[in-house]
Amino acid sequence: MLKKVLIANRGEIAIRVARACREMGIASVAVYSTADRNALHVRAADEAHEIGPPEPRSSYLDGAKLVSVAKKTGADAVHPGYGFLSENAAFAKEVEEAGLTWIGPPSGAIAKLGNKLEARKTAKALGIPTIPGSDGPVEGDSVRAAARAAGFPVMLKAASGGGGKGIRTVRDEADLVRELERARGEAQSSFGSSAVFVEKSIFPARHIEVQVLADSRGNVVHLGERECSLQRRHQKIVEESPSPVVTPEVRARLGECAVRLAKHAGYRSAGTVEFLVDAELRFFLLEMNTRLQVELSVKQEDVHARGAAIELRVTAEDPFQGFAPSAGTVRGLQLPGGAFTRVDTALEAGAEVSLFYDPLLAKLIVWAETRERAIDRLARAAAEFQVGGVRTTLPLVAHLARDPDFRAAKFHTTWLDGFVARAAAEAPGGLETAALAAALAAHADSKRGSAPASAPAAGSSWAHTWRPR
Amino acid sequence: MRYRVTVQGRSFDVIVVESQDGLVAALVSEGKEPAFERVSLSSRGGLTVLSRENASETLSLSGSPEEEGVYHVSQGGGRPLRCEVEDERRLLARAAGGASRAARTGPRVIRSIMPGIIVKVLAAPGASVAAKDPLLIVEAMKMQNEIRCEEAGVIAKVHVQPGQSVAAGAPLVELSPA
Repeated sequence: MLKKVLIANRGEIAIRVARACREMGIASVAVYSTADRNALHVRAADEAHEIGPPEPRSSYLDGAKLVSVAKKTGADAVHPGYGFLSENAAFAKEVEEAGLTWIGPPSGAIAKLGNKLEARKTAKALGIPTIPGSDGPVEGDSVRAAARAAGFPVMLKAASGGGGKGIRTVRDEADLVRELERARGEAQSSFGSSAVFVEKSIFPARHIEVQVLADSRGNVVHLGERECSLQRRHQKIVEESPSPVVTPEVRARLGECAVRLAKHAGYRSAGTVEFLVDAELRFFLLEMNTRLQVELSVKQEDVHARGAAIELRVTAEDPFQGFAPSAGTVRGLQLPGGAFTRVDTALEAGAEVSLFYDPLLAKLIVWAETRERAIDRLARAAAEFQVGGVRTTLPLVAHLARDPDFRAAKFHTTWLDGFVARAAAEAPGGLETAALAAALAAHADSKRGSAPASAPAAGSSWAHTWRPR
Repeated sequence: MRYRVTVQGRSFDVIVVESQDGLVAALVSEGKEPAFERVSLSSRGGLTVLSRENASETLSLSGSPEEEGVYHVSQGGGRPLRCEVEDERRLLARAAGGASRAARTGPRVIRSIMPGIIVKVLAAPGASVAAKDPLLIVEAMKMQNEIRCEEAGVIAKVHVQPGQSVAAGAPLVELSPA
């Protein structure tokens, strides 16, 4: 039994791990950069230690420092959360070699499955469908033959890539060599390896993934799939469990493939096997995420009671300005509540949203007996959820809820771009009078010297008379 | 204080006065009996509570570090409304945008802030005006806007007449130093 866990992360995931520790009677240790000194995750743990400046490279990504804090505080385990070092096999190994428990898959399994080419090779050998493409890295000479064999358009992918980086789509053979050089350059600078391979581009496709759980005795189970097709820049915005299109027969085959891959790799802990699914419900392995995922919550909400769960990633971005980041101070916060409405967040009024870290502010997760009711509930909860001071993805939900294609689950991995453009052309929500009065009040307050972009100063009462011509 | 608030591209001229109840804002317009809608605002933990006669709701605002006076007002459900608040000084600075430093010694040219129709000309050539005196009324997007002078002077020339359409930036009145 573990006694003390070091949480090598920040934000909502660090809070969730700290909560689990508290419920299980395990002590927890938070770490924080100087930018996060006052962050909520610091208070969620039993003790907290500063690990360096705001730049992740010198704090949350500094493996040696994290291991030394774990040893100094007498922790016997490290939980990496998601992002940062969670899929870094070298860090996992460092933790293991320091005699600490790594709460995640063994470093060997991370190394084996984290490299996309290795994962492809393993999957092929196991009879799991993979996307047609090259068996190894391609270079100037071999890329043409590989692309022709796969058929245009093709994707060039970094073998050790992740997070949507090092991926390029090539439609025309004339662009192939130039794009390959760019992809190799990007891969080298982002991941320290220039290995790039070719895959056929499957379009339109859905992104559907299977949650697996493995114990230390080699038992692996799957918990069904999540639908994660609503993405921008290869990053997910809305997730559903189950997928509205997957049939029981396809679900069983997807799950069986995911379990076979995890078993073969000697997997342990939670993981996700990602697939692309075409219009005929043929599926192809995309990759395996050897860690806890952001969207695990939506599966948790759907695991015990059959029905439909939907999750929105509330990020500090303006969806109507090309998802431009919106940093600043959270001026006010109203969280939604009610039945089957869950919020995973590290938000609080006064919190600083920094440009150093991921823009994820919260996850809003709802459950209902049917997908239709779940969409209605998500819209109700999103309208209740108010964040002052920064712009967020919350306003997207009202538009999604009245979109006939979304209601009918007719979408694919690049559908969201067109949807956002349509939503931006729709009339905004709310009354002109109300907006006008609120903006004036905020402006007057900012000129009086209180903080800008906040609500009117406490106690100030504004009367606004509206006189149409 | 006088403000212009542009909500999603539609401009409203607003006068704000301090009263015993706090601050009262009124839209500037002419004619017809006014139909009032009173709203009051208060603060709850940094969010704005807006109360109308028989309903109230919570709003959230976010400012714009790159654009002073710009606020995005989210009323729960759908795209936030973009509001730009300009005070008198900014409006006048913009109206006189065409006037160079050299022009300060000669007549100042007051220009139209927006495309619109001249409703009324209040200034006659040769007349002396004080700072903030209304010079003319321009209608744009169904709203009538008073154009006032920033500083005292003598009207040197009036470029427009009632009923005339003007483009944004068009010269309206020339003002000689007092």
